[in-house]
Amino acid sequence: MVRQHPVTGIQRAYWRRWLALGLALLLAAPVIARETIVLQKSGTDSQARGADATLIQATPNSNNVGNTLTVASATGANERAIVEFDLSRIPNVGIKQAMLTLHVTTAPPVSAGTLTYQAYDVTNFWQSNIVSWNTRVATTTWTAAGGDIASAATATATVTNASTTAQFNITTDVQNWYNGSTNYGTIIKDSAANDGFSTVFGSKEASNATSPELDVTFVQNVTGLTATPGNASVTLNWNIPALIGTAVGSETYTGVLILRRTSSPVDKSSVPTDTQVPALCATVGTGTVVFEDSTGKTSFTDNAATDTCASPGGAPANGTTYFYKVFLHDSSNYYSDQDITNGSTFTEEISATPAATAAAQQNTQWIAATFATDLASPSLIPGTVAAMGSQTNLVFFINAATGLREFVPVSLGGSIASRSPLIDAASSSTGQDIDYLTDQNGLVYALNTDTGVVNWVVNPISSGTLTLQGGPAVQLKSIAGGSNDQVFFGSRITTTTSANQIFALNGNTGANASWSPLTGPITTTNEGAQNLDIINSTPLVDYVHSVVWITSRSACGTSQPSLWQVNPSTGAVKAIANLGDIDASPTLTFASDVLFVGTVGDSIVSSTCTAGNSTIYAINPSTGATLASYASTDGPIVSYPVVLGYAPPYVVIFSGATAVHALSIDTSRPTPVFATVWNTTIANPSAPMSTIGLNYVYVGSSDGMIHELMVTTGADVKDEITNVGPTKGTVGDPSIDEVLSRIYVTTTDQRAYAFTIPF
Amino acid sequence: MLRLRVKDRRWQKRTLLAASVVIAVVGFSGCQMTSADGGAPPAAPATATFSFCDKEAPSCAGETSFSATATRDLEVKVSWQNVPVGNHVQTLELLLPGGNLYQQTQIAFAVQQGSDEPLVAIQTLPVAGTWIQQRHMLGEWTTRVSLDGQVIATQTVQLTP
Repeated sequence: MVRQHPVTGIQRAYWRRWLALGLALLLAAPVIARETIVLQKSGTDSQARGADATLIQATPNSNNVGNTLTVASATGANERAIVEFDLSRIPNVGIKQAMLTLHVTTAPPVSAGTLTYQAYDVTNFWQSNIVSWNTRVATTTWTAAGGDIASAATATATVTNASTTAQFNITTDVQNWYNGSTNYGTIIKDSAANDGFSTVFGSKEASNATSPELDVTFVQNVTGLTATPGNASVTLNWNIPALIGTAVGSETYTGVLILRRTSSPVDKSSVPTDTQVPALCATVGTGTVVFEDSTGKTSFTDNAATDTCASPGGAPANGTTYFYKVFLHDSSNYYSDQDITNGSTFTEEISATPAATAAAQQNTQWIAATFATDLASPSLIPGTVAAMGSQTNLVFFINAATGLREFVPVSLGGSIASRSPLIDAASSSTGQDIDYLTDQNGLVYALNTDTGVVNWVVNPISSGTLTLQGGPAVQLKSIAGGSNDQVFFGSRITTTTSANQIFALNGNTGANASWSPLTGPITTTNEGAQNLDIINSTPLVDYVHSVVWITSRSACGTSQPSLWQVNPSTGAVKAIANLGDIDASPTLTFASDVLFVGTVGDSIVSSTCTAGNSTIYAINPSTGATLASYASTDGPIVSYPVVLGYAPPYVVIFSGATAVHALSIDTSRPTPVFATVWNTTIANPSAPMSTIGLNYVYVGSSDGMIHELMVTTGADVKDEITNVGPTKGTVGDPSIDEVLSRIYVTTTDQRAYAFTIPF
Repeated sequence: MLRLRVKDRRWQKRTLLAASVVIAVVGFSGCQMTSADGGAPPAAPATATFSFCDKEAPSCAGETSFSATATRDLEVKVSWQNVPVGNHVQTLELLLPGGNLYQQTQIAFAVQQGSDEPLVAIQTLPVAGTWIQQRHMLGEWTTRVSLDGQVIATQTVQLTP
């Protein structure tokens, strides 16, 4: 046995010697990881999403974006630098270190001695062309003037008259930004109150040499990860990525570590520890190590021959779904994750279900962890990108083919609880690929989907804030004419059942149209003034009739309108219908000759709004008159109905509380009626999704699966599993990508999944 | 939507003052520590209590169960006690029955020296017409609040049909 000296027993001279040696080793140790990159505005890095400004207490309402950033400490005249970097060059990595460097252009005087500056994580959304000491975005003030920041500084740096830089280690903040936390940048301020000194730094707008700089050390994820199921086997393939930064030392990417879990994805806190190699079959959190390699292999077949681990490892069993998480590592065993307290949210993962027959085998095309809940159907530029908002203020843009992030999620100012339309550059009046979004804090955004740059963000009302629940609809100039695309949405002001608002914004600028907003009670063309209750849905643009359809609630009754037909050019309300509360968006037929909409079905019982059953309406879009109706017995409709057919008779498919329903209606007849085609029981179904010509309709469920139903019969012919294990979630509304023949869903297990269709 | 208020609506004025206070109080967490001479007692740790209200209801008292049909918005109120002077970040998480995260919001606020005003953060959770109602996310939800990254309190609330 080796006797160990207690620290208190070491003589002072030895203690100092050991301390000195330890410090020397620490200082001499290289930063060990595979790649580093310098993020700084340059000829090759535009830092398009980067932003900076000086917040000046003495002129608290002025926006100060210029060639310099100033940090100053003086009574009533404090100044702080606010800086945000564009991380788009490294979207799919695990962060190991991040150093923020500000370059001094005017140092403090010698008399200042040593100043200590602090770097704080910013905790609220701001916009660089608006931000000031008092205001962060639009008309919204900071909660605390001078910027909303974390309780403690992430890092400090000292500045003297001789300093040329101030460097802050903000690794923790950057890791959190990659880990599901919002990235609102960093504020630099003087730690001392009123010392009377200042330092001037170069800004992004100055010159490349003095622009703020972020030096990031990272490990990439694998690319091209696929899982191919077989008979009692799953074969994984992946690629080891090319460098995007500068290699550190002689390290190379040498291989991968693979964790496996049954029925649910490996938990985010289940990550290997950097520099350590867990043994084969070892347990790492909720995962089991089923493969480890340091020879550059790019394939692994999980079967009885290769996987001899005891349960929960071992050969894959037919009919069971296995989730694999693949950690790329370098020669020093630094992994493509972030080994931090709240887990690592982005490491490549995939799943497959082996089976004896090919027909029964299943696999995901990709899984994208978002660690944010969203049940809206993902927005698409088919074959290119899938976008999804979140209730953690983030928007994710996922490469539709690979499942990798197009860029680091965009941090916005509020929860996004609706589908956001993506407009490709060829169709958009902006000439860019654009995503329009609304959030629950009342802001409206236009994002460039190629860069993540927020083109504009507005609060559509001059003071106060709205809640926006439904998404925006876009009328394209390229189809409708006019001078620009227009963006329509409605408010969810729950303190009133009469005075909600309908907005139309210029898609290029965010400016309100001349008639926007329409505020209830709204004067209609033929029906006088009408109350407008809350709007939970996304409007529908009807190009054939040159109108916009909006659905709303109606105070839990039928005494006020819930379907509105608005002229997008003038704001005139041409038609209304009192159908009862509507939360679902309406749907038009392919020829725009019939509009279908479903109500909530609730009503006032004993002074309380009480749940009921949806009624499906067929509406004449020229007049707003009801052509036919169908009383469901299955609770309220989910999200929207789907209409199939180029001409009557049409098939209308909708989801209720317990089943998916198909109706037919021949609107070419003088008095059309709905007829039931089929009803298929699905646990808590999502909105259905199908397209004309497709043989199947797809629907998510709270059972963690996507169900593939025959359009003609409703037969549930095959299901794909997202997650049916301990972390099973409710599957949201699907999107279909006809270019790649894929379906995308999000679930409350905080991931997005892609599957090939038909299943 | 998240907002922060104090009982007497002086919060706006107070927050405008907060920045200068924060600058004056470096390392506010020090107030939780015994001073070097042992003279000051340790401050009580920050605590938080939850209460829930139907935003449209004329009053609410201790309710922990709400109808997803009748409740348009659920207000989640977090009342703070013993929050030390300085800048703080409250993180409020709303967890679905089963434990998956539904929504997370953050709010930054500052407490100034000498303040004894009650501090209440209110988050409005849209219910009627949202996924909660449409996808029947009913049952026992969990609300969890953290201050500066440390979980301070959790509370359950029932959503019924």
